Amino acid sequence: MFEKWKRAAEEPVDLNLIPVMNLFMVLIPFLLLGAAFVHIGVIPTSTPTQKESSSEKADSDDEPDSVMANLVVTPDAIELTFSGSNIPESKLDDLAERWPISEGEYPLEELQTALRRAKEQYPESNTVTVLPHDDFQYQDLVDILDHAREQKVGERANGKDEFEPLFPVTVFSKFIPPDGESGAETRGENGGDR
Amino acid sequence: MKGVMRKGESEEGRLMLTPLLDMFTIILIFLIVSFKAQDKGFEPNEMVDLPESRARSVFKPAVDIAITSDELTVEKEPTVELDSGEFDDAHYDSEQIPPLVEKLEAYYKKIQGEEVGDEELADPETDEPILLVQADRELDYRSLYLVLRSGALAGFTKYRLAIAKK
Repeated sequence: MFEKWKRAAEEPVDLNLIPVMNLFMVLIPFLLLGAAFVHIGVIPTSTPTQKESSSEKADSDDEPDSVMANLVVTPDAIELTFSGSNIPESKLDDLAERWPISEGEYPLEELQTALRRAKEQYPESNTVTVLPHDDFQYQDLVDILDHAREQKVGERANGKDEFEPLFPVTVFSKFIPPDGESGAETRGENGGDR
Repeated sequence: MKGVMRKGESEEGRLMLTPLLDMFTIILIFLIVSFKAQDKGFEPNEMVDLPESRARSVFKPAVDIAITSDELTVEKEPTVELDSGEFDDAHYDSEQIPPLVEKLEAYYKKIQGEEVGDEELADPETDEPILLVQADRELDYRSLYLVLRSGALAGFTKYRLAIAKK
């Protein structure tokens, strides 16, 4: 009797893996359904709105100096200009840039450098108005926004890039090509904010 | 063959489950890492090839507009037809898409609680009128802006452009 028990105790015992397999068979389809192989994000934007400027003008002297970047994309060039209520025109002109577009290549790094320079001078600035031409492709627009909204400042401990906001507030408007001597202008929404 | 069998081993073949279990464990770990619950019930439109971006802004509940090459849908409901990614010329001339404006106005009122005449009945989760726009990466700005402008005419001023994260 004892010999029989001893022999049985010495024999290797197989683990019963069937319940574990069953659990896996349930978990895997569930996770497959919820897995996100393409991660979706969003870019917050807006269109221009009309401000009640008369009452706000009075407080404008107390506001910190900030500029608004205006990015006009035409088929052959990108023009970056700045506007700001408390800043002399000459200083704004110094910040302005124009880059020709050759063979569909957009000067994204140069654009970011120019925006960074403006941000360093006027740290409170955060708004860029984008005025692309009609045939401008959506992917190119997103590439420009990526470079205008934030800049890479280093790398985190986990190896991921670290970004800092540049001009994170994006406003879309429409570019009306120059007509005779009238020059370029923007047409806004809800009453025509420029 | 019988001679080489150990004591207690039956003649029936036994399934080797260990390699299978190893494989399942690896798949399980991979799926847990890539598992991400759908953002606020957002489901990307399979017909839209979203542009790639490194934007990391978070989702908020929004009215979902998808622009494919042959139709525009609002909350998955076909609203306007397109011809190879182009709207009707009349829409470009009038700078708005009337059926879209009409539909978005209804959503705007619903979000604001105006439809029932009681603002307390507005959904607190979606009380901020936002449009989420899914558009193909090759869409031209003229068409995109037409949709945004129609949204603005319906009362929306905030938009979220859906992108595929790089």
